[in-house]
Amino acid sequence: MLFNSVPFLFFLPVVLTLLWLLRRTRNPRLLMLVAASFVFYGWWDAKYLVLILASGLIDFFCAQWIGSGEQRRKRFLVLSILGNLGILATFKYSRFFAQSLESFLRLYDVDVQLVAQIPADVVLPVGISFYTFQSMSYTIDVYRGKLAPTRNPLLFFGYISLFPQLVAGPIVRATTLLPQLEKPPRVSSIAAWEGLRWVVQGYFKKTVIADNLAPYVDRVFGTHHSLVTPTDWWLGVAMFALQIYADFSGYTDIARGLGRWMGCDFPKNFDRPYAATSLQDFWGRWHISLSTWFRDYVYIPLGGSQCTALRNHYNLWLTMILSGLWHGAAWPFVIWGAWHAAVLSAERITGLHRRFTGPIGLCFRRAVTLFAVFIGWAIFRAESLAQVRDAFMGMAFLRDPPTAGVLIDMSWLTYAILIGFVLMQFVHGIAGRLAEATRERILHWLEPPLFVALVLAAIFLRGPGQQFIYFQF
Amino acid sequence: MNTANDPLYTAPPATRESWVRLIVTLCAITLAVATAGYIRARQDAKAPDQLTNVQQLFQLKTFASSSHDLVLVGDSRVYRGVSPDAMRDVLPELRILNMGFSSGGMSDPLLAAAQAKLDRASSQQTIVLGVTPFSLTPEAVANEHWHSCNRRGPGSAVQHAGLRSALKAFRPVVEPPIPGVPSPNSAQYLQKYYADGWVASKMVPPQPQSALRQYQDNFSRSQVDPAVLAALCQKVTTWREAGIRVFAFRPPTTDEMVELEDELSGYVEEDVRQALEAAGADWLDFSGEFYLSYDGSHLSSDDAIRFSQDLAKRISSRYPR
Repeated sequence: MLFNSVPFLFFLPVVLTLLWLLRRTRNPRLLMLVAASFVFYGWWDAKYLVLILASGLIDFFCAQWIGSGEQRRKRFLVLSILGNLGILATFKYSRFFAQSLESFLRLYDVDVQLVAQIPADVVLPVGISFYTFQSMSYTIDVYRGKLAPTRNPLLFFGYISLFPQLVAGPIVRATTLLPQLEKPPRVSSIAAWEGLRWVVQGYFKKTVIADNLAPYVDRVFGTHHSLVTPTDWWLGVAMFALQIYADFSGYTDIARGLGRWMGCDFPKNFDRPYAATSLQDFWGRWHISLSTWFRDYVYIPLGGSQCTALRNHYNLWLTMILSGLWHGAAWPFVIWGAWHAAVLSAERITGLHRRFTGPIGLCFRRAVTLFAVFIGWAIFRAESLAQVRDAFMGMAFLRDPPTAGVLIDMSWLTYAILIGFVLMQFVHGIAGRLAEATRERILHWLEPPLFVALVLAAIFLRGPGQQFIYFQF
Repeated sequence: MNTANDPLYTAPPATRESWVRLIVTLCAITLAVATAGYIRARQDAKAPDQLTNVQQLFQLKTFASSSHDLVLVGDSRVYRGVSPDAMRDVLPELRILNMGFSSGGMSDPLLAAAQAKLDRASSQQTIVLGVTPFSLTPEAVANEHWHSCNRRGPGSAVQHAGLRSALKAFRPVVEPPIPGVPSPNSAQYLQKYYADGWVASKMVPPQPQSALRQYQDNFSRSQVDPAVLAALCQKVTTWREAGIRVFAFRPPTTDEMVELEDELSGYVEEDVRQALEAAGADWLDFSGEFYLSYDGSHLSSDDAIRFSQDLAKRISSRYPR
């Protein structure tokens, strides 16, 4: 089920009402939450609920055995990790690995048909990377002694399947969410208001900004390169940068808002990423729940920065390439991860990003970071390695440009979104400071009509309906 | 763990919004949306219903209800070339459905399905046949595309058709751009899908030769079968006996395509016309020189609208209302 679908309009009030009715009874409330989350997920394809159940059961029992202090606790941790990665490898990466191996063997004139051996019904289940990572973090935290394993399967399944963040995050740690689910939900008027703010803002970002840009981005990346001008490429990449941000942060906002209505606080997942002054800063602002996951469960266990400089770069590259692969089973995602690793390594070696200070220096750093991020998005959005090459050649004016181009009929709304975004980058800081100073007085009167306007815009200025981009990951 | 200790957690603002403020705001939102929807419904009651994907389009036409006065049957030249909405500019009182399918052939099951879309209570039941040479070949009458739509079942597009109709009042005010479709050649293929069965199409830049090769291949595999034409005529006779008006035409295309089809397909237009007229159909003549094709086979969207109006005028002139 999608947040921007009609069934969800009926589903949500029913769940919130039941949650309120069952607020004083723990297990019936948790049972209802799990059932609602399964209906939400099963709306797409009920048979893939088996995977959530399998992943959950493995981790629930492994955590029990790890927590019981047995000597073989490391084995159960390995079992949990292998179980989750096995599910991911089968459903997300099997075709990619098979295709890559086929191509590799073909270089040595060995012709094997591996992809054909994979059953046709092995498809990528929605949100598999999110819930397997969330589930894995639970057993690892139990192993590290940060968390006592829960003995209540309803509580555990409530944690891994909670519908607002099940398919596209944020990835919430068990240490944060389990205690919240255990307690009776308390929703104050402040929490309810804040939930409304996030939900309205999230829908606006998704339906007005992301969905109106999507057709033009699709057009640039769906057209033969001989028709795409350098301006098209740059504009297409810039629009994709804005689209993916509005799409994903919009989803997070809706998830956080729904969470507030259900008595839960999900962590912040974005913090004005395009205002970052270095790529390292960018990763502290973009998809924060994933980047901290990789930091805590991959980068630091590898040795992090507490090792030799060479080893540190190796850790960084491995983490970023794995992060790229997490996003999708295709070579452009691997290259995207490697590109970010390369820029991060360059930042560490040169330290250039720290040398520019003052307002002009910060502007320069922002521009350079944005450029690096845009190059990354061009790789990320490309359909294939060949298109990565075409995009770069087009962006670098290395092809004869066609006369017409493909972005010839952009609507006034699209121009308004792009100009609005650029202006937002400049006025955000000023507006933020102003809002801090006058929040009490102005926001109290400004927010209700603003919410009405945003909802009207989300309905009547929405773009062609699209699934959330991060569902595919 | 208290989430307030979480560095990623944003503390709620110190304001004390009351439940009353929340409820009043929600009521204001509901009222504003309902009012805007009401105004929009009155403004655009007759606006065409645009779909988001091609699968919805064919689900809707395959499982359309029996509520139409006029049904168009044919292949892609019909579903790209005839807009029911544009026809309604001339025939405003008619409920029209475009039942064209890819490589649609004049087979008995498809024709029966088209007839089933007519409203039996209507006094103006009409079937309009877009008879291309390929539609009379054995390969086309297999109607693979239509059968695959049937096998797929009605799906959510049809199940929610009533709901979608109700939600029309909440249509966006900004016309969405024509989505780009990956094209096999170096042109941009743009298509819009409408619930009445039309696909508005064009290529930028136009490639008026690009379809010729494919049609050469088609007719090297399969040619016009007189048995298919005979069965079609039989069906036309049955329809006429049931009081259904039948029109037939050769969808306009480029001169090069007409030459190629006449040379390779075994289609003799005069014979087809005479056979259908003998069975009771009204044959309508159109020349391709007045309409532009973007790929050498199909009409581009602007010309499709013009052609649809011309087609409606010709039908109207035969049966003045």
